Amino acid sequence: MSAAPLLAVEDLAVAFKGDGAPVQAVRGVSFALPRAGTLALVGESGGGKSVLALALLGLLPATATVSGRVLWEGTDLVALPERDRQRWRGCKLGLVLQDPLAALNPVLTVGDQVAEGLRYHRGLGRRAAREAAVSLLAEVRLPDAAARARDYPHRLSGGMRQRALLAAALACGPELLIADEPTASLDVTVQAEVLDLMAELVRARGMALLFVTHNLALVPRVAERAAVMFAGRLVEMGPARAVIEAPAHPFTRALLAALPERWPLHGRLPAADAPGPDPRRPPPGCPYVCRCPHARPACADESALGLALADDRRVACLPEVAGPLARGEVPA
Amino acid sequence: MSEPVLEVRDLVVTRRAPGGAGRRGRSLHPVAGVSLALRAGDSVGLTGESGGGKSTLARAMAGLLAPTAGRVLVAGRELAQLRGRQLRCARRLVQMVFQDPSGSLDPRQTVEEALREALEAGRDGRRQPDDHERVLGLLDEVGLDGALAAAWPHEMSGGQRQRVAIARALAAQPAALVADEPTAALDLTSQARVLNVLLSARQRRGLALLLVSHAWPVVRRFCDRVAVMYLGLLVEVMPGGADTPPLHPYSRLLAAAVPSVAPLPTAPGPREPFPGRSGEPPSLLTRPPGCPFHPRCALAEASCRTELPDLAEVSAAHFLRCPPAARRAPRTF
Repeated sequence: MSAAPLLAVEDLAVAFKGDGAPVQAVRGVSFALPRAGTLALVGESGGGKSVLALALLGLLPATATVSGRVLWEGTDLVALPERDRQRWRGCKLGLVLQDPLAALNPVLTVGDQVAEGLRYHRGLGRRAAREAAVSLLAEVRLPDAAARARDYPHRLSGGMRQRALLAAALACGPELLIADEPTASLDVTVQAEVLDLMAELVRARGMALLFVTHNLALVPRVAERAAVMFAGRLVEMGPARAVIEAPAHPFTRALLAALPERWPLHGRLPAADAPGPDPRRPPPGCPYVCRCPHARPACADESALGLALADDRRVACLPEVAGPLARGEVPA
Repeated sequence: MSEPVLEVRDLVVTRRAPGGAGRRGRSLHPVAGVSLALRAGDSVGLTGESGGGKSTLARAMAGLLAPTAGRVLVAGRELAQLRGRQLRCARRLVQMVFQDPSGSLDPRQTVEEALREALEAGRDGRRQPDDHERVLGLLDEVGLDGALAAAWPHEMSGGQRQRVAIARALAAQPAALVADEPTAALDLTSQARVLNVLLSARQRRGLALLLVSHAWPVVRRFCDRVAVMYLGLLVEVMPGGADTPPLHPYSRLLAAAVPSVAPLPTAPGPREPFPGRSGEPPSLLTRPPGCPFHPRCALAEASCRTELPDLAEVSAAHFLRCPPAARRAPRTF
């Protein structure tokens, strides 16, 4: 058994070429995910969460430039030839996306789509793959799995489609499941069930999970750790409960205040109107200064940012701001 | 009390069932007898699961589809009785904002063109020399920079597009705004910004607002009144805010299903398990007789399976379509 974590991301950056300066979607992100570890990546739309997930998968378009390293048990995936990367994706990885109707092929039955990975990556015969698909659909608690396997996606409800997609993601026994807003398109009643099912399967199969969401309220249901991302950078990371109960970065606090359960009654909602920084010309130092109520000149100094609140808890903010915030005090 | 600016009485919308063996020709009722009134400055949140008829009711209230039975009244005048100029005027008074702002904005129109078109439509196509200033005023009202007047829809974020859609609705000088899931496609920060725009429009212009949202905490905390819809029927209409707890088992199911960052239990005292079960949202195709919620309900009695209860007032401004829950509720009046 090696000491290397399952997945280690080191100083990962993604930029997109276009008109003018490249858009810097992800900037200097580092984190590690141990075997069977669960991490939620939280932030606003456009903050780089999904781009980061796609960079791990190696599924970015040709206009993207990736730098830094993505280490899978010590092997750098960024340097891997595409053919090997594809094999790695098929065997080690499961992916669940937001829109199950877009992710499913409308002209193939649900069972065939779950079986597809088993035939391609595991070399199963048609009949064996079909039987395995039915048992996977039963594992994700699709009612009447054998009959549903013969249905086309349009016959299934949103929640059932998302379960089918989860079954397809689990088919080849992945070691890491990447779920990007898997429940954003579902009704709340179904959302909770699908999340709980996913968390249970991740635990039961000993998989690692990278869960991407904009909604902090979903995090404690599925992940032990949370990483908060703003404008392409990680601004806070730590145990999910600690981050939620004692948020240290002003952006994490703003995300929490935006939760409807914390809204003031019938009044104006807390929302900064300032846009995020220009991704072509990000400011030096902390990207959140444009909205931060505690911004000060030192924020522009990269080396002044960063505070370790505990061994496993870091925040990219000035210690004189993040320290008091984490204790629930107002910084001087 | 002032006259409602937008009201529906016993509204029914019937649709033909989609094709499929044995189903053709069956009638479905996405709205099966709904009465609701909005006065100037009111904000009513309409909530429930997908397929419950929220959007159909919203469209009928905005005059975008004709009801099968019942009446839609705009400023006291029945929409179905109006013709020509009077009908156009009544329709202008009720504006709608949709969930997908990219779908409701013309990709070949700049923001300014879209807003000018709405301004001109409000006065039978006539232009006015100060329309550019009005466009800037509308953008300011929805918290957007005037420089965006020259922008195309694809150059903006989802939240910005939705604010343009609201500005366009406001350009018509409406008395009521029907917003169907205006924030469902947005992240939480953009959601708060869009709702703030709706709140200030309501306060500044005295607009009546019908906010359709599947998210219980959104309607509960943002609206003065909450209407809960299940399979075409209102099952509970109650005051918004935190003081009045929901009583209908379905409302409580919706409230309990919302993921929360608060450690359990959220309220002091023991947490009561919600009476009902989640599971797949209901379908109009398999609507049960009696109270449509009874197959999912823990309080269901024999009569619930055969008789549809009335929407009865259980306390001030609190209406409930569930006799078993009403009997358990503390009486406050």
